[in-house]
Amino acid sequence: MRIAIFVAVLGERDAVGTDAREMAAALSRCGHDVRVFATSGRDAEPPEALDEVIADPQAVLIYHFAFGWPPGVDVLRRARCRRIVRYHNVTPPEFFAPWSDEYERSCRAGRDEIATIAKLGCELYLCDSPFNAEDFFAAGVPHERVAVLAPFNRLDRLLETPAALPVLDECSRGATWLAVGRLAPNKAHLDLFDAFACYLDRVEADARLLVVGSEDARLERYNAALRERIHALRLESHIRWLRDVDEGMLKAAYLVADALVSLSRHEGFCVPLAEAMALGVPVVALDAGAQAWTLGGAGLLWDSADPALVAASVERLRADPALRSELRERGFARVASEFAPQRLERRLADVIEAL
Amino acid sequence: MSEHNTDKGDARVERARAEIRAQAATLRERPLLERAASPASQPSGSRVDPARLAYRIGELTDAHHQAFVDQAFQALLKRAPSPAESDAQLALLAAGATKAEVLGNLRWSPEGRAVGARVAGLAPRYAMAKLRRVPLLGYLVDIPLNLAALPALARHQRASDAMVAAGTAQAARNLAAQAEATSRDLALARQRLDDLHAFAHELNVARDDLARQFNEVDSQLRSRIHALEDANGAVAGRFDEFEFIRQRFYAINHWMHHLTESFARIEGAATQGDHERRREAWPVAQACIEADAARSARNAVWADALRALSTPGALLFTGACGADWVASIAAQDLRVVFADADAPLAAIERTDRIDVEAVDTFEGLRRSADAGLDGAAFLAMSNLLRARPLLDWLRETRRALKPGAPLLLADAREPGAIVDVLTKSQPRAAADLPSWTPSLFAAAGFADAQRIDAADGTPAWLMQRGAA
Repeated sequence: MRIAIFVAVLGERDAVGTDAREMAAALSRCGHDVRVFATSGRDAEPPEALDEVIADPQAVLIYHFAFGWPPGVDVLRRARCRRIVRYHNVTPPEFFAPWSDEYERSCRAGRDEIATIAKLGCELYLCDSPFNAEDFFAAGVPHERVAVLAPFNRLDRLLETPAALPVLDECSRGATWLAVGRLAPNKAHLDLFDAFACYLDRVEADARLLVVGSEDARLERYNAALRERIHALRLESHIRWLRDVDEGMLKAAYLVADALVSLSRHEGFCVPLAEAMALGVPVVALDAGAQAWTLGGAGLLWDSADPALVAASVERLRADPALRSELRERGFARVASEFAPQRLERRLADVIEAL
Repeated sequence: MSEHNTDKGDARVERARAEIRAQAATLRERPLLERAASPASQPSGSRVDPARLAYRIGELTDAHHQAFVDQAFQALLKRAPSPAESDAQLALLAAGATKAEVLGNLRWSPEGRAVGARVAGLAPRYAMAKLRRVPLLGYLVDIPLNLAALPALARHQRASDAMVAAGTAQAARNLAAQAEATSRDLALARQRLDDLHAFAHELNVARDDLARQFNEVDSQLRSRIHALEDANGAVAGRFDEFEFIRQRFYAINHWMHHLTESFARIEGAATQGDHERRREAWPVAQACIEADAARSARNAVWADALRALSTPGALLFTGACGADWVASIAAQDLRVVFADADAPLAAIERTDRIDVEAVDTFEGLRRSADAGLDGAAFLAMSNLLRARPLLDWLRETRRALKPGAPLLLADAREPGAIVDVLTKSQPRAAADLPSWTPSLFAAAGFADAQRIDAADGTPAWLMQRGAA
């Protein structure tokens, strides 16, 4: 079967790019003729070359939808082949309103596109999580045209990669919190800093926070607010920034962490949770977006980002080996049953066969 | 509380969550800790605060070479430089660019503009640096400026010479110290290497020892397995024997069951034959009774004697006697229980005064309640004593009679006794009533025993149940 995977930007390490690349590899292994199209990205063909594939009624187009992008909608509209919309969720614009007009506009356009794409009557809306599927149900898509498939990932590679020794050596003593994800308002790093400061003040004064993620130059007002909060809470010497990390450094960060803390207020899936579960790192998270489904009970999930509650959670995890073990076992089981690459590949093959 | 955690329903996690909530509630009441220095501090050694957005140019130009570049990136772009960016800026400095030019390039780059850091005094210096890059005009501007700055440049040159000389000397000292430290580290490393070799040797020895122990355990396990297999074979043989015995037991049980059934059938046939014979003999016995001229007078005397010791309506037990005796008792205004296996042959009808039980007489007596009878009369003792000894009769009768109730024992020729004589081949053993004595009955719990023999000489005893 001819399959075209279409994504605006084919990133190397971001969640959407990883999903598109690994999906292409999985479908190729199943014997399909797979090509990837994007405006930029290694190994991607330009979108202009897509016309020949989408004119073939026997072909399948998989469009990765993660933000507002009119050319993507245009391709879906023109396609004469079977169409699958791979939905990674669009962050609500309200999160960006105080920080970036550009982001707010882009997210608003993306949210508006949900209704537009829903009306196109695509053969399947393949969502990362049940939380994402709700967007298309709300837009009137029939239930039989919506399916859930967790995003493809690189968990197996992360497990095999040796951890970077310098990071391991640096963090050999004291409590270590870990936060993974780009610096964006919906990820709620301000809440994270508040909770971490509470931990430093009341539980353990020499703890550290590893922040894996990069700043976005278009969110400078937000970045400045983060810096000011760090300064106000006197956290400068306790935060270790890990930017542009490779898999070895990322794995080292997970291995030294006592807990992955994710207080994000909006997530369509949250890949770091799956990574933490695969590496046996306990998770403390806010019950928002898809995080509850992704965790599946394998973490301490709270309905409030109260700093004392989060700090007490990490304290308990450090002091209670039985609880850590219980959550770790649940995490391993969750990954094995839902997010293991082989399992995702089999489910995707079933989805394609059922078209 | 999260539904997902609840769904998983593990009690320990839920208990931990509740305890964490309680712990969080008291967390803010704990004393404030004094912040300790963390190993997570920025490794760059930068003296500028990247959280600020305003600087003086002197703060940023103090540092040199790599430190200057790192500091410039932290202050103006709020991040560390990548290796390529760092190399590019160092190359610019090596080509003679001023620090102001490097700072200006970063500050007014697209990224620097987005950050928007302010550096007092940078703009004119940067403009001048850029002006110097303009062909011809830059040269014309550069010459007078450099001429004017000659005295300062000379001072700077002398200072640089001194600094370089001092730096060179310091570098030599550093190198010497470094070499010494390196040789120390090397010696230490050699020592560690030796330690590692020794440790590896110990590990090898331990491994060999472990392998030997494994072999021993393996050998022991194998011998245990053989022993268990042998024992298992023996047990299996015993099981075969048990099974053989079990089968034989079942066969014997089967045979016993059939034997019992056969005996029952033989016994039934014998009983049936006995009944037939007794039925045939009964009319003969009846004819003998009717021919006994003294019978009615005898029965009347004994009935009067019983009546004299009883109250009207009293309940009297009797058996092994003829229908005429039952009728004579009933005629004495007494109620009668007649218990006899030959009751169907005797054809005595039930009335409101006469109750008939077709069972053995002793069995009928045994069924009576304790102290439930007002009197008893047994007229054919020779016949009754063949079934039970006298002691049994006296004990059972005493149990069933009320205190003071009369008991009549006689040895008359009653129908059942006659039938016995007619149907059984064994000679009839007569009860020797005349030889019994009042003391015998007193010992058995009966008082006032006296002979009331009939006129025809038939022996009889009348007594009363004792009170004790």
